Amino acid sequence: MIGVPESMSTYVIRCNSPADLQVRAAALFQEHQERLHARTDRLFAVLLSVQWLAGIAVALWISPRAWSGSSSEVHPHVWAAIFLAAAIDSLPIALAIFAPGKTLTRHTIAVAQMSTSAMLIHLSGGRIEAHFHIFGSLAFLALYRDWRVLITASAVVTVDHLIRSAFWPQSVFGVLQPAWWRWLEHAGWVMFEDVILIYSCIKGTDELRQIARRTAELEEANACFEFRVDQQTQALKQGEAELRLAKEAAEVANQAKSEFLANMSHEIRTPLTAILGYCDVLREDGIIERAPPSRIQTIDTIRRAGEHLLSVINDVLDLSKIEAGKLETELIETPLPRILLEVDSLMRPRLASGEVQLHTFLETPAPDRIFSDPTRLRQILVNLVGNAAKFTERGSIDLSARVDRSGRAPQLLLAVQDTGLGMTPEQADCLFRPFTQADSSVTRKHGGTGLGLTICRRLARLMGGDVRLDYSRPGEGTRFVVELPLMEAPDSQLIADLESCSKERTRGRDQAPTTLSGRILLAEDGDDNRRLITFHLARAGAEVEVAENGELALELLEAAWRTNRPFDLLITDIQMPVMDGYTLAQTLRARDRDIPIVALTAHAMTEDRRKCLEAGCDDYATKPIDKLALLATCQRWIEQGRTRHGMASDLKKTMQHAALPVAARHEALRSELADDPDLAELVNRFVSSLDGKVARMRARFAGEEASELAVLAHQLKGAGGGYGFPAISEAAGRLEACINHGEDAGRIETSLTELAAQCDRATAGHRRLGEAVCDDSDREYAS
Amino acid sequence: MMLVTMLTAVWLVTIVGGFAVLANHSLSPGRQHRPPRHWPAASVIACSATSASLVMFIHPDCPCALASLGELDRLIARHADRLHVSLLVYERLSNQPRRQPPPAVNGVSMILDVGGREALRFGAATSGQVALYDAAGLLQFNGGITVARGHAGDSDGTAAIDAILRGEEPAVRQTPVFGCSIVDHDRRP
Repeated sequence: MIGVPESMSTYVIRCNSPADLQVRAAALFQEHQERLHARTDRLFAVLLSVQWLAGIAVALWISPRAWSGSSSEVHPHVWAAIFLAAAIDSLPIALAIFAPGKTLTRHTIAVAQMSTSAMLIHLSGGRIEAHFHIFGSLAFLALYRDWRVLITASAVVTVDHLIRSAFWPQSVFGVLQPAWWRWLEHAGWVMFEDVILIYSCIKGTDELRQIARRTAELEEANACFEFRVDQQTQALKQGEAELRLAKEAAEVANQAKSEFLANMSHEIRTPLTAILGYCDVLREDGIIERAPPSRIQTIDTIRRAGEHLLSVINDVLDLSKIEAGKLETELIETPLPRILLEVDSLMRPRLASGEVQLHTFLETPAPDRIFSDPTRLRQILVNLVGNAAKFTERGSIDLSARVDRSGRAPQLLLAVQDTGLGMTPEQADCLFRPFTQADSSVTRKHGGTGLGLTICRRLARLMGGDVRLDYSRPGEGTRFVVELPLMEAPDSQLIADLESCSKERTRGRDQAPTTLSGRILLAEDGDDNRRLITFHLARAGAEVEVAENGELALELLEAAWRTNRPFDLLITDIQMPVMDGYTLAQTLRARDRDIPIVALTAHAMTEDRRKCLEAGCDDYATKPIDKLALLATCQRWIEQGRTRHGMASDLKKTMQHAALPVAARHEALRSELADDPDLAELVNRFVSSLDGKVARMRARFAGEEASELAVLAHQLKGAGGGYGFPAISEAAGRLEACINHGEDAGRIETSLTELAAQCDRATAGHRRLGEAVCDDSDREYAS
Repeated sequence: MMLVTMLTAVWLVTIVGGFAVLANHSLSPGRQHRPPRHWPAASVIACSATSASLVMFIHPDCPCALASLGELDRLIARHADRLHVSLLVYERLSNQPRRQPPPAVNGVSMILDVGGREALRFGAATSGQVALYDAAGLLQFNGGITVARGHAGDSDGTAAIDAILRGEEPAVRQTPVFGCSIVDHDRRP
């Protein structure tokens, strides 16, 4: 049951109820009749009033006065036109006003109208033309569509004629002695019109009933429609509410899943760090060659199993992050040849010994530096080559790169082709689906989670490209192609082969540090990792002190500064009790303590890295610990810290000659490549262009051109590190992230100011360097 | 409801009563005197010696005179060769203007009856009164030729004149007259 408009307030519509439909049709008909009767009543009220006035006017015109010689008085017909007509009209007009639509009203009106006709005929001296008023009045009364009214009116005419025929026949029949049936003749003519009018009334009433019926049906249809719409709207609202609740529940569950994954990541990686690390310790401790082969084999098995477990965890985490939309890719300057060679050197040991050859080469000349995400690119290629290695028992695996400039935009095509088992079309159809492999036998025989290709494709798509199966035939091998948009770095050069890069790689590996000198504070709450990392660092020659949480680390750092024996480097875990690594870094930066900080985290994602850098860390290392990578990182930052302090010391001397602000001198940046004479000119050019770049960015910010500002920030992010200013790259990266995350103008302005400050520091540092060189030259010249 | 019914009843009675009063007025004749049996010698109008002479007196402003004149017109149409008609129209003594000019009737000489002297000679008191004399000057009929005030149509008066002019014995030789008073001595309309 639903409500209806106010005009139908006395009636309530039930959907699909025939009885109610009939009742409603009757009500509508009645309603229409009442409206029609009331409207006609009002019309007759006006007509009677007009007739009254017209009658007075006619009486005044025809018989204004009665005479007696030369004297006169108002003619009785005038009085009759005024008072008798007023008496005739008074009641029907009053009823039309106060009781419109009532039966009595229209019958009274009928009597009055016909009486008016009679008076008009009388006052006109019985003129035959005046009789037309009767017929006109009957037609007018037919507007009521009520035949009873016509009967009443006709009865008045009949009675009038009957009386007149009895007492004054000449007044109606025009002769003194009419036949007795003359009154019937007159009444008959009236009845003739009545029959037509009554027929018309009945037909009209039937039509009104049909209209009322159709209106009721229409109303019912509308009501049913509205009822159903209302029901559906309510259902939709309910569904919407349920969806909202489900969405909220899903978001909560997703949040819980993310937290669970983060915790799982930490909880699994941390012990894995210890497992893998101590495997290395066991392998390197003492003279391993004297150990029984079975023990070495056991250690290697533990190591392999740990690495596999780590790989699985990484895959699951990656896929979860991708599906949650939380995985972000970077777009930074990437040395393409180095990536290819790293994959080559990483995967070569995994190939079946002697039976499979790995060839890494360029099909076409390719730029040496591109904008891409090196981590993800390496991950994709490692995965594809790993797959190829898994399914190739003999033959070769080719890892090749090719630049395709035939399309609208140039593409980088990286192909991994093997001569392995290959796949049937049915097996190929199962590719790129999570947790799916070609068939279950693959899992039993070759292992794996079935996530690799899925992750590869998702990552490639995040980077604007794709991974596709180029071909695969059983027994002939498989070829996967990675398609990526090619964005060449500024000043990149085309290289035709990987030979020269291979030498560079070799040199780089040879330069991996084996010794460290300096004081390092390690903040780590896990006993195993604390012992392991301490072991590696101490073994490399560093002086290591440890703290179990951030607060203890802070106390040790402050004590060291007070005793003038500062630490050269702080390595801090992120998740720690009492005070975590983020807070520790933020506190140190807030106190303006200039010490390199390397974060140690099991959260290896891009956003984790960004959080570390935003908290004030200079770099990060992931768990499980890669010993060589950790030592290299430590060495780099210890040297950089010393350079910074040395430069600060130099600047301290210089500042006695320069009138620069203290803060600017203290924060001056120096390029890591400043000591390389071959690159000095390039670095000079880059530093000289910084003011202009900052000015353009400020202009874009003022003009609210966010996308252009993001492009400029992105370019500076890629270029800064390349010229030996990682701090500029990081600040530019933070600015870009702010813009891409749609943060408010205040945050963007803060990031821009921070970037501008870094650029100022670089400019100031470079100027100081130039002045120092000049000073030294001057001193040498003076001496 | 009762009040409405009573009101309706009173209303109906009022209407019927009003019509009754109206009919009573229409059917009430004016004052009437008998004309002289012989054509008055002092009259300024001459009596026809070859045909019947009909004299009609009217008040020019009487609304009922139109009906009487209409009947007179029809009489003349029927008896033009046997009837000499004189229409005397009352004319005030003073210079009061007439409301409207007296209506004309075909073939009838209209005579102004200043101060109603001729009316007094013929004993006419009410507008529309007719007196019919034969060629010898003897009164044959007097009265009105309408049955009510302002109502044209058949009447006993026209029927009597028709009969007399046809040489038949009329049903009546005197009928009531319906109209205004011609002279001031009778102010009854």
